[in-house]
Amino acid sequence: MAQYNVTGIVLRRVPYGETDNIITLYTRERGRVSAIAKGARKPISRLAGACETLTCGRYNLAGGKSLDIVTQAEVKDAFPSLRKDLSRLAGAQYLAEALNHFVVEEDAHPDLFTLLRAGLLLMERADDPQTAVRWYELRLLELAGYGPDLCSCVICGETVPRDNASQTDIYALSVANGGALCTDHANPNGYEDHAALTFDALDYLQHLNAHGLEHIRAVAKIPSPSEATAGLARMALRRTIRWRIDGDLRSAPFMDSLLSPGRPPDETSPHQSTVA
Amino acid sequence: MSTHYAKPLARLVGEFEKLPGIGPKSAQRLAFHVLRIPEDEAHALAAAIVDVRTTIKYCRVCGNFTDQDTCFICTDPRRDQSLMCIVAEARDLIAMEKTNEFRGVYHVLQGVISPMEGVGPDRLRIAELQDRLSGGIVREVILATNPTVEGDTTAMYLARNIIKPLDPSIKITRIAHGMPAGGDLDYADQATLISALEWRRELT
Repeated sequence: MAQYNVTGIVLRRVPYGETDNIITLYTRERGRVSAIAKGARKPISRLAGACETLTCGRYNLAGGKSLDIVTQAEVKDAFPSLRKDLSRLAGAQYLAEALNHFVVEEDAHPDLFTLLRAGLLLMERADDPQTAVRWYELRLLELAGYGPDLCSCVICGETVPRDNASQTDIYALSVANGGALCTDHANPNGYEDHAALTFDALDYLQHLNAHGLEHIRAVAKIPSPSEATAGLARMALRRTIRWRIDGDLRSAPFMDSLLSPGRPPDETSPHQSTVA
Repeated sequence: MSTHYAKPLARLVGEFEKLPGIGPKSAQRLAFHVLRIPEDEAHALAAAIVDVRTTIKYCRVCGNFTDQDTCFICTDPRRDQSLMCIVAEARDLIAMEKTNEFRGVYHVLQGVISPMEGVGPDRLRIAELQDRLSGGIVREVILATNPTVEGDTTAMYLARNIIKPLDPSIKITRIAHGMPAGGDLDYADQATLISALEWRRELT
């Protein structure tokens, strides 16, 4: 039985049998890996803490017939502050679920691991957790190969916003074309895939998009935008993610109810089912 | 259904296979065991299964399993009605009862908030909890959900979004987290040790 060591974050934990857990890890070395943690639900189990959802640890896994087996585990970061703030804990669960939908088993992508860890750290520390979620969504889309082009119109190539832009201009994010639309091509009322963006909302998304994985300290300090700007940015990215994974993330409604309680009702598509 | 068995036996194996944690081999073992036991024991087993399905229901007050309209805990006059322990499942209530330490009443949520599984607060017995708390009798609520992400999410949600807005004078407490009896400090993880330090008590 081949054994190997990985550093990973528990995306999901499902009770199995009397005392076992099946965990889904996102690991730096191997991407997503599922494994069984035997006895992890017993109070004195040495695996219990490291096999809890949203825990980063070092895991020794042994190859099994259908599932690998967790033989040893050591917690590296349990993100304890998340457990004291309901909104941030709900946000962290959303980050884990979102990543889980963009990855497949055993396909290593170390930057995605770095992103998830950064996202969880941001959920603990960011001044505005909602901004941290938006930044994470932009980076996740980019690393998955779907990053929207927010600097020029995807139809005519014109830089957005123009130099002489007005604060009242209406832009859009074309979900289908994967990028911004200038004022001439944006038609949020005419096309279902055009998510409306005001000048401020576009500026906010461009500002977030300019911060790479190495800038999480700066992201943590970005102040929250106005409620209207935050709502438009949220809707544009949510619709982009929905388009890419062909469904809604289950944890989104609960997170939204806590992070942005005054959100407009048009958040989930009646045409698409929840991703299983 | 396997063709290697006589039809009634295949049916029994098939039914056992539907039980949680029972695979084809275990189902076969159980079915063969049933064939070996005296006939009256087999009848008793079948009757117990039918009986539990027809008589057991949820207590209309707390949500515990009961064969009456109200469970034996809710009808017990010696119970302290001002102290309420909120648990996720009826089996958690039984675990608390086994301690013989708690003399208050319970409220069974019948689940925990699990956003990633699509289980929101609307799927739990929260409306019933609000009804009970608005009576003004309960003075302390003990949140006894598991110290997991889902358990903590549920506890914080109930405290912040349900109980406090309903009656700010209700004392809200959470069961302690930390080192288990018989645990080994050397193997305890960061989160457990942080909890153990936070919830430490003065020795007198």
